[in-house]
Amino acid sequence: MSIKCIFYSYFDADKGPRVLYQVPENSVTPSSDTPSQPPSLFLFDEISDYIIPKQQLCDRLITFCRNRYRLLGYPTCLEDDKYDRNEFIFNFVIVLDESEEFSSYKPVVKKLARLFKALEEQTGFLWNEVTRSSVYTLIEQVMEDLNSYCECMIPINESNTINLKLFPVIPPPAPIKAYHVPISTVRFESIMDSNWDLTMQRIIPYIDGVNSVRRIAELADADYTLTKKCVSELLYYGCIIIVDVFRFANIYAVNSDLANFVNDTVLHEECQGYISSNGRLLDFPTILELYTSLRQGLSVVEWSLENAERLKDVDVRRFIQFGIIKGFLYRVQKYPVRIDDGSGVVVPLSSQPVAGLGSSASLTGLVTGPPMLDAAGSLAAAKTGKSVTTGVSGGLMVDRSLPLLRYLDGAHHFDSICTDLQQSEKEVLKNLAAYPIEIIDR
Amino acid sequence: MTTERSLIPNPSLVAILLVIRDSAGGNLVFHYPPQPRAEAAHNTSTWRVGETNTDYTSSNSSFSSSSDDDDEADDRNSRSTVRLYGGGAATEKSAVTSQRSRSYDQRSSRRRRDSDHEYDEEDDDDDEDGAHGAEWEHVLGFRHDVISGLLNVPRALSRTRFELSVEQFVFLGYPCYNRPDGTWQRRRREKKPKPETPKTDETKDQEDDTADAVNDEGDITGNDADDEDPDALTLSRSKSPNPPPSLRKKFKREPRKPLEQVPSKLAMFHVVFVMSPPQLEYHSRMNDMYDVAKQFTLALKTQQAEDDYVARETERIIELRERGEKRGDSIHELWSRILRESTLADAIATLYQQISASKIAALKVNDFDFALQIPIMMETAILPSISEPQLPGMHLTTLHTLGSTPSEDEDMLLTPHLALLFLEDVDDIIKEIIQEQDQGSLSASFVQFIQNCKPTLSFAQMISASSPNGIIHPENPEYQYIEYFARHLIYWRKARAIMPLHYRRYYIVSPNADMKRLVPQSIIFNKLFPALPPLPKMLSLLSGKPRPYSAYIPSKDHRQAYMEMLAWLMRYGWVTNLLTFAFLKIPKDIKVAVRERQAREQAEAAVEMIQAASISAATATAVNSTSPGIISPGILSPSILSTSVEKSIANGTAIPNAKTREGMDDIPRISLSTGGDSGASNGRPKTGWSDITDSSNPAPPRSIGASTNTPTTPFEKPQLESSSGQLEDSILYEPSQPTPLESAWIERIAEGQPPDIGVIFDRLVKYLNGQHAIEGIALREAISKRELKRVLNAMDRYIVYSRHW
Repeated sequence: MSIKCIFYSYFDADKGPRVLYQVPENSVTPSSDTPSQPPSLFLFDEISDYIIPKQQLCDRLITFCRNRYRLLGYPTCLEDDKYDRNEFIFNFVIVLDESEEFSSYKPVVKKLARLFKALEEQTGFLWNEVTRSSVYTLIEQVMEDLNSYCECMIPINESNTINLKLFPVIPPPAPIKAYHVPISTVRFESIMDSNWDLTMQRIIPYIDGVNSVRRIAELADADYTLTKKCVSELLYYGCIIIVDVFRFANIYAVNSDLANFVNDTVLHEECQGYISSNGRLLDFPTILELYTSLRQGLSVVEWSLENAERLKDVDVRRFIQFGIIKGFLYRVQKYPVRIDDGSGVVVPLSSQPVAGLGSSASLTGLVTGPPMLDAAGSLAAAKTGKSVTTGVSGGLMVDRSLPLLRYLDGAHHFDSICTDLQQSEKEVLKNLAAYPIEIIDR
Repeated sequence: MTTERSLIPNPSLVAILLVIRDSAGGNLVFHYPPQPRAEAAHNTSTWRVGETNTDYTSSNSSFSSSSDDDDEADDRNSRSTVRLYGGGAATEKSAVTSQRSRSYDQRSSRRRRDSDHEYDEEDDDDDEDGAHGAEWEHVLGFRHDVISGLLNVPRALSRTRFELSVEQFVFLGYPCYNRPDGTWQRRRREKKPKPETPKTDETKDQEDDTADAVNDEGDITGNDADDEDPDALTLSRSKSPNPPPSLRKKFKREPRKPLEQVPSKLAMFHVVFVMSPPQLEYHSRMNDMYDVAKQFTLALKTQQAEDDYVARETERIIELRERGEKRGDSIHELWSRILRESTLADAIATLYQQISASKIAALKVNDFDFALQIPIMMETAILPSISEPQLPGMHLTTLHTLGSTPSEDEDMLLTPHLALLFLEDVDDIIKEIIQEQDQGSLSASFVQFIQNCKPTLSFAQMISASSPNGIIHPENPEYQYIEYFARHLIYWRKARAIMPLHYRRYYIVSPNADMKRLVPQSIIFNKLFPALPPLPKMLSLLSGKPRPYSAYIPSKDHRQAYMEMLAWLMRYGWVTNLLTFAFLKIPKDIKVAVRERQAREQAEAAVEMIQAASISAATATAVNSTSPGIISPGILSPSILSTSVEKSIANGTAIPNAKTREGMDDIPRISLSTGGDSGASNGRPKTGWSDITDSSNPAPPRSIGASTNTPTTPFEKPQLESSSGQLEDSILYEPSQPTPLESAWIERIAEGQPPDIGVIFDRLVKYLNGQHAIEGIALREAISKRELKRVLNAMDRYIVYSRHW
């Protein structure tokens, strides 16, 4: 990733759009020595309309592609009597490869334009031929520093400095769910200081690869929404990764990424070290056989029993976690679905009995459940978004099976239900005993 | 570093503009929709798509709309503002406009004097006088004349990719100029008897061609082959299928009689696609749209060359606009009149509506039928992890099935053994074809093909059913028709190619099934298959340990109905075919045996080698020192010998290579502090940045493999025994390209078997890398299933199976 060229162009009253300085030389206009030789990148004259545009298009970011290069500029227009025709248009243009990810350069181009605009307004920096002559060195320095260090700090005069930095663009994090389990990828104790966000400081000790987000909030006695935001932030900056809750009743199976794991010898050693419970390393074919013997319909418990002999040096939780983290193992989730007795179709949420809204509303006032349960109720409301009022959390206290019914349209798996309702899978199933349900593994 | 291709469709299309240039100057003739809005680009898909702005921290990508409790989304949306030029309050806007327009006039008149540009943008001012205050005076917040000036490109940019962005809007197009002599017609190449001795009147044309060619070089995606004859490409996309390309010649329509070479009034036309793509997907979204833009432009260009079509249509639109202005029509009245009366405007509108809805645009310009689309993914090999954008309902398979156009990815030997799975009701598809009927006999055979298609029946079986002597060659004309029809249906998103359904195969609930659709689909399912167990019951049955599908079928009489149900479940992505993949395991005892034999042979060979004067001493020592115990020169010919030396050198250089990789990874790999055992950091999974970036890029199936497998691939892997001399069981990574030692192992494995098994095993070895479904091998290699089973059973000790889709 690098800048191919930076050039300074302006509108000359006599000659039209012109390039005054370019780094490196002859990039966009032919040199005066060999005018017949075309410039190395593209011909400025062909596209000058998009570099020095009409006044209406000034003061905005304009990019243009030519000859497999991408030009980023921020044409700036100044109006003043001292200029010929009362206006002065200039543009500092950064040229990149067309295929380059260029978003981090956009603020840089903008800032550069603003800076020179300010300089011009203050001292006539660009209009004055003496000060102007330093522009070449400046853009040369900017290009060199950005290409080498992704940042630069170049003093121009006592009050102005070019301060630029390229920030990488990171995609937004996945939405965080209550049942997500964060695993840290950095040593928080070495990077965290007292200036960190308070909730962040509270929750970080509980990020241990086992606790779910909801559980972390609970253990840290932190607000759930804030906890979720913190976790999301950590995910955005790559300080954590997200997996699901590990339990021995879970089911896992390999997916199509397995071949990538097999082809990566570095990963094998990593795996051998990570899964070992006592320092003794398993050979890779055995590891592979163990992973491939995980399959749909087979819980980890059953699988451990089947392979007890080969697993004696293995930490099963870490074994599974490794596969999940590396992406060649997937979790088979269980979805309880409430079905209609007669037809066997799934009962939609809208026809689930809502615990007599009138009465439950009044209950809300009377019954004040423990705060966590309340949060769970409102979360359920947020999730289903249908026919659920705040009364639900009251209803929750009356009949433990009722809020459950809201999860039985097939869109919620046990992980999500159990974390929301703070019940174990067994409890959930027990509470559902009265209803005809099917369980779908996906 | 380009952005990864996202699987989620998001055309990001804001508007389509048509700009022309004629003797009167440049003009924005037409745009659609009449009042484009930037947000429109983001409302088109069901996926939540963020907003692009220059604030790099709030960058965005496509995530599932199912992220229902995602409060950050609203933040991000509210933070981003769409800044349109002059888009403030109305009063403010008009003030700005009048001020700006004054200065614009000054400026443009100055430009006229100053610049020696060949085109004269000042003509834009003309229609501005009359149009003051009309609703269409501003497009996308830009003044009409500003935008037409901007897109009225100089001739130097003709026939290259045009990509200009102004703040969040990107203008993408493929401007087309006429020839220097004022005509549009490209002379047919066939007319030139001998290109190396061009006649004088054709010299010009040729020069022009080369100029075009030079221009096109600047074109990145440039599939310029279609430039010459867009018919060849686009015709095949008309709604009713045409014969396969190889058979098309006789069907090829007569070229219309060339008109007299009258210079057209039209000098340039430029169809501009205004987009607002999410920053992180910028490149892939732009490239997708560029293909559409270019094809549309080329189709128009052909029509313009034929009978001045674009010139006629634009003239008509301009006339309608002028009349509408005089009458004081509202923009909607005017636009609907234009759409009624101009086929070009109508085509642009259709194109916008369909493309921005990620659908296929079936277009007709000047009686020329063609279709354009941004292809969407119908299936994926990779299951998204919980922190990746979700693709619920998308079919999961690792098979490289049939695409809408032939590609290198496809498995030529396997495709005849695939079947078509219709994604819509067959009767509806047929009805649609009959309505479109304009190809006569061909459409009859197409309908017949559709009727004969069964998801349980492979293409090969379809042919052999009609002609019993059927071994199918890909060149078989009957098969070519079938493949062509199939691709046509796939292009139109009516069908998907699958491994034929069979009751002996394994099907599981797809981990990518869209559970949110369970409620409505269970009701539909009940209506379709009232006699069968309801959908939740069925899925629940398929949830357990994988069993062949026949295990769920109560009796032979039910088979037909159950297979139909299976097809339905496949169609909606509820289930996926569980395939078997195999890895070749080399046990220790094989390695020991090979090593012993090689040591013996090497000792013998060493003696021979000293005696052999023909081989230079240097080579001999090189062989001996670089590959100890690997090769026995007595067996191998000198040429293999030298390659093996290269290989071991490659092997040697690969090791520091691998080291640096590790070193790089080490930086983010600070530690994975999980649970209580965070002490031992050694050998923890690397879950640092590299991992995060990997997981955020769902697209290329083999990305991880590709990154590690640099050109030296098969030799890069360190050989387990070479370092320590300690032999362990190991998995062979790339059995199709074995090192000499690996070949020796494979040979050794086969040796212990009866010769017939050995022979077949030799053919199978290349598939045992975990990337080929065993189910496809028998078909591909024309080995009977029984034989295959026998061989695999015999080799059971050496094979590790894995099962996924």
